[in-house]
Amino acid sequence: MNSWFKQCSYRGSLIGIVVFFIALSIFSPVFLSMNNFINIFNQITVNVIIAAGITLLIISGGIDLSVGSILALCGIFTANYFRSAPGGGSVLIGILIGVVVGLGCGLFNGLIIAYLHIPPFIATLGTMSIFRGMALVFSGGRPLMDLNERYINLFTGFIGPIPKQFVLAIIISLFLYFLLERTRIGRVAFALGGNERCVMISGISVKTFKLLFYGMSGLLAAIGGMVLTSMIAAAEPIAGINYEMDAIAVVVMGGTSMEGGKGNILGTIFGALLLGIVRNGLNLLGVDANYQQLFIGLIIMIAIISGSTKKDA
Amino acid sequence: MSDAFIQINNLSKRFGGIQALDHVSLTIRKGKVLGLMGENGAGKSTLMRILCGIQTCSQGEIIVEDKRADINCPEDAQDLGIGMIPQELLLVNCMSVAENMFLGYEILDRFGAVDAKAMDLRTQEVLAELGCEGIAPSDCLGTISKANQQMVAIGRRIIQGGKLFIMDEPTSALTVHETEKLFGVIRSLCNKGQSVVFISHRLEEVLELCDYFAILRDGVLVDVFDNGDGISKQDLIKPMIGSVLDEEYPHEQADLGEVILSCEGLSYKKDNEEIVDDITFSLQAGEVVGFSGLVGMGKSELAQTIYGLRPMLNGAIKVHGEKLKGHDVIESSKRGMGFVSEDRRSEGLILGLKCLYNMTLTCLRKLSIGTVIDRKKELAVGMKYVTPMNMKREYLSLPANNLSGGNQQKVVIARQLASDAEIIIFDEPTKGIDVLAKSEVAKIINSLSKQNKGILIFSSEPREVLGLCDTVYVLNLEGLQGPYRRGELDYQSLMGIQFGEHHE
Repeated sequence: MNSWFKQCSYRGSLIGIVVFFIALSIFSPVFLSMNNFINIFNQITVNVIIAAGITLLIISGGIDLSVGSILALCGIFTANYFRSAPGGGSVLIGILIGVVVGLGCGLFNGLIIAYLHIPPFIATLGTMSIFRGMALVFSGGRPLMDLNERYINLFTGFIGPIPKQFVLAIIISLFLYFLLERTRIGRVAFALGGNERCVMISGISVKTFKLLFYGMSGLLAAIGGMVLTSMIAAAEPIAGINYEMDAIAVVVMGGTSMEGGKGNILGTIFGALLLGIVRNGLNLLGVDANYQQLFIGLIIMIAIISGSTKKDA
Repeated sequence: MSDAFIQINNLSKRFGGIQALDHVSLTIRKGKVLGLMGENGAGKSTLMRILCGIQTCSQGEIIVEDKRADINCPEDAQDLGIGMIPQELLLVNCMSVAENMFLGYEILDRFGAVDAKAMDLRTQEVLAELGCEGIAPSDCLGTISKANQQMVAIGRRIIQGGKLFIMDEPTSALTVHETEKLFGVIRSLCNKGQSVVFISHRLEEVLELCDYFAILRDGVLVDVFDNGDGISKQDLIKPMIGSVLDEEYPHEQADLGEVILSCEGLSYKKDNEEIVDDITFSLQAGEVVGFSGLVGMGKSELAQTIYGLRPMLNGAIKVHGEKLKGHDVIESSKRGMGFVSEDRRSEGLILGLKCLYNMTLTCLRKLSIGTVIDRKKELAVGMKYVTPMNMKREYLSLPANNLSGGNQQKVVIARQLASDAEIIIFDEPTKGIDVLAKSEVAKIINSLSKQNKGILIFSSEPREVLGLCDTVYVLNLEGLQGPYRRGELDYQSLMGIQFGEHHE
């Protein structure tokens, strides 16, 4: 094996993808079909969008547990607007509401973390519950249906053979890749995760950048919310529960270090793809739902362990 | 019976392609202090780590008290009475002195519970033996001085029945007075027949303390000789670097320009909550101003206050005659100040990040269009500083963690140069780096002053301040003393002022 592969932090996910791809091609007659691939892509879209934001945050030494709740809250606010506005309302305003709510929630997280110095895990654990509670309150605890058709069509359907929402996820990933690798913002994220005190002493405004990172995570959660709402044609107050955990899992499977300062978006996408293929395969093979959970957990563990580079003592 | 405690025969160690130790044979004598000398990377630490069982050797044998010893793990070394007191003390700050002394070796009573009383008693004995007054077994470790923490670390080894004490840079955090005390303790250990290996970059100290020297260069033992009257610093430096160092602190006077920084009536709180006040001084372009003083007088704290890392209780800081608008790091760096921290690893560098990225951290804005970094420009910045600082090009793409202390310090300094800082504050600029790197850092500081930068140096090494600075201030118990011009003070009189004597 060449040294690139040995160094590659997401090789566990790569191996997993290849192994499952071959195995499922043999054992399932429907796995190798365009329809099934589209199915997998659709299923991982929201996870990829959210995990992109989480990748940025974990690299910068942070974390955001509230993304699933932000996703639901944005959906509820947008749906409430569409249902109350005459004639179904304007798509643009609907999107804007989602963006503002998501960005607002993210900046709120950032404010608490950067200015009140609350550890991000604790701060977003709190807001996870607050935002979820708000989603339940503003929806009356029920799913909101009858949304603007044009809004739904914007995020669903196809561009050529590829689902629109998957294209969106790829664009977002490319954007974050560029942001992390080529821009000052990305560089500061790596530096912050590596040594916050050093960044502070260098005269860089740590608070501003933290606000920016959490705001971005909230914004991406809002976009995830738009996609999910459109896919199921309803805004659910309990949508996105446990999405933060899925996102963290694929980020780590992708070789991003929980300690901060190290990571990449490409790995996150491979992590999400592996998780998507495994879920899809277990369904195709008709594995008992109770066993699925167990099996997925094992795959996550194996992918992470085989991707970790052992340190020489 | 021979006087050898340990006889090392033909010891070799390879790390991948690097020969860290090459057939080293050395005798560690009973009741003597060995000064183990060498530059960073010469193999000192590797040799000591093998003795302590932290690493194993590739080849060779170790004979302890005339018996061949297999040291495969730290416990083996422990059983033989070999113990290391590392540079970064491995103690628990939130536990008491006694708890630290017995950590992992607690005395148990007949019910199997920790016998705190017995531990306190034994701790008291050991502290008395070490001449540590003023600390009690129940004191919280974090509240006692660095010097006393060092004593606790030594006491810990005594309790565990140590016969060989390996001390890696034990004096780097100590004052002159505390160092003297430590030397007393080391001598009394030797008088009881125990052996000490002493590693330090401070040549004056090793000449004072050690009975004999072993000098390593690139993994080879190049010289072993006894200390004596005729032995000078050059006798140590020459075998260490393989040549004669012309001058430890080269100095060339730069032309002084206008006043770029002035502090008026500054006051601040030290770490121990005492207030230091009425700090007034100014710095001209091209001038190197040094601040000397014993540990605990608030040197580092002053450096931090000037840069905005620590609140200013009173007074004013002016850059180019204009008062700073706020008092924080962002304002200071905007106004052209740069800070080289005393603690490279935890404050100066992002260890996991490439050296190039470490260098360009503060000047990224200049290298970017919007937020997009121009990578060609960035690399050019790195290349600009590599050659004059005597570093290799390949370092740029290595994580900072992989470099030696001296090269790491150059990376931190390069960051200040790249950011066009006009006023550069150095807190202990040569702490823990080897002789050659020290002289290189000194040269860089000198060349900076010739580029019309203003330099502030905060150092606890009197020779460094005397050698590098145009103007010297001393912080002692009475406050800030000075200014003293270059040549006005010598080592003796500077030490005198540090201890509160008045200079006439």
